[in-house]
Amino acid sequence: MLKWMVWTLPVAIVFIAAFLLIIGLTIWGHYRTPRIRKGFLRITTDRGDRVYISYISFAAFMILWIALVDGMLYVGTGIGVVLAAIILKWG
Amino acid sequence: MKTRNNKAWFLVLPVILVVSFTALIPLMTVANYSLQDVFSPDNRLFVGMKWFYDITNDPLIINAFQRSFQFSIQALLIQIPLGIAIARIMPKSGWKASAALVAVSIPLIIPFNVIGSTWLIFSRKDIGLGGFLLNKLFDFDFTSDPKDGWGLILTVDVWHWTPLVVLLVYAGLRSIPQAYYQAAAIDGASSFAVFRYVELPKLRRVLLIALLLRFMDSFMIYTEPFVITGGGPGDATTFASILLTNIAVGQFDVGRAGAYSLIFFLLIQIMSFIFYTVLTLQDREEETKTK
Repeated sequence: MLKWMVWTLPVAIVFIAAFLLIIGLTIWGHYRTPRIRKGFLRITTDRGDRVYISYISFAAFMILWIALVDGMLYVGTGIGVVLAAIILKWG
Repeated sequence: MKTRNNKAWFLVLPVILVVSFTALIPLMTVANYSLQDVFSPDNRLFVGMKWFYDITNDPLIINAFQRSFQFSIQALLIQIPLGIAIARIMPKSGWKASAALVAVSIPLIIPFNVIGSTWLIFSRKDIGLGGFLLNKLFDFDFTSDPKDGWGLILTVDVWHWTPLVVLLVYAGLRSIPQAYYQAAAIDGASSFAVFRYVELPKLRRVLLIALLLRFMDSFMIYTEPFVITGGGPGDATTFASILLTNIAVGQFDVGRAGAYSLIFFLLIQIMSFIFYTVLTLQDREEETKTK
């Protein structure tokens, strides 16, 4: 049935992780209401906003890395994860 | 803080179901395509990030994106001021107001491809009135001159979508209480001062929505160039979406098209988020202050 979607393992992992992230955030948000605050991005965000921003920033950074740097994908991923973590923590 | 009843969120479930079929499942498929060279469901090859390297280093694609950006910015620079100007001079009440609203919204209710065909015929220099008259003034041929092709698509977009800006701004203007105008009149404010200090601040929200909608629509423009110029002359009007369709449907290169779509989607996401943030920033700050 799912054959036409030509699933690959990496994509499946990414989407399952994204769903778990959303479900997790929902449950977390239900028990601990997120605090709205202002970080170095100078915009007021709550937990979900920061997750979204870091997710998108990570994707954008990876595209830029692929466009500008030839190879060294693991190094790029590492920097991207650090960047996302910084936004998540202090953004 | 007041406790909120979040159960209403369950009412969103039907939408999620619909969206998962129209957007989420296709998106997953596209993500799968983007990592593989697919010949058929049984005959495919995992190629990793190859398509992404291809796409980001392909001048054809980078040019198409630049063209789309350029087009969007030009469309906005024309449509937003023009929309405000038209909305300001439109009649404010009575049958004239209704008539003006109907007249203005006509382009919005015509199907896209009909608009394309109409303008295609209208602009031809042999049988079209517009093209014929323009040729009296200067040499106009949108099928061979890239500048004419670009100008024609831009004109069609302005004709088609300025009414949306007009309607939004008109609604915004109508919601400004008369007291502001009366106060301005007592102070002897000029027409420009009224616009600058009364109307513009009150229109901020409406204008941002107009900006967001118009930017997105013009960035993803497809039907008009497809019908009128087909991306030509040369590649003068091959915008990002036209090129994407050529790769996906024309060449049936689904792997490359998948990677292309994901990058396109990411760009749209980023720009929507920026617009959304700007749109809601003030409310959020007020919300944080009251807490």
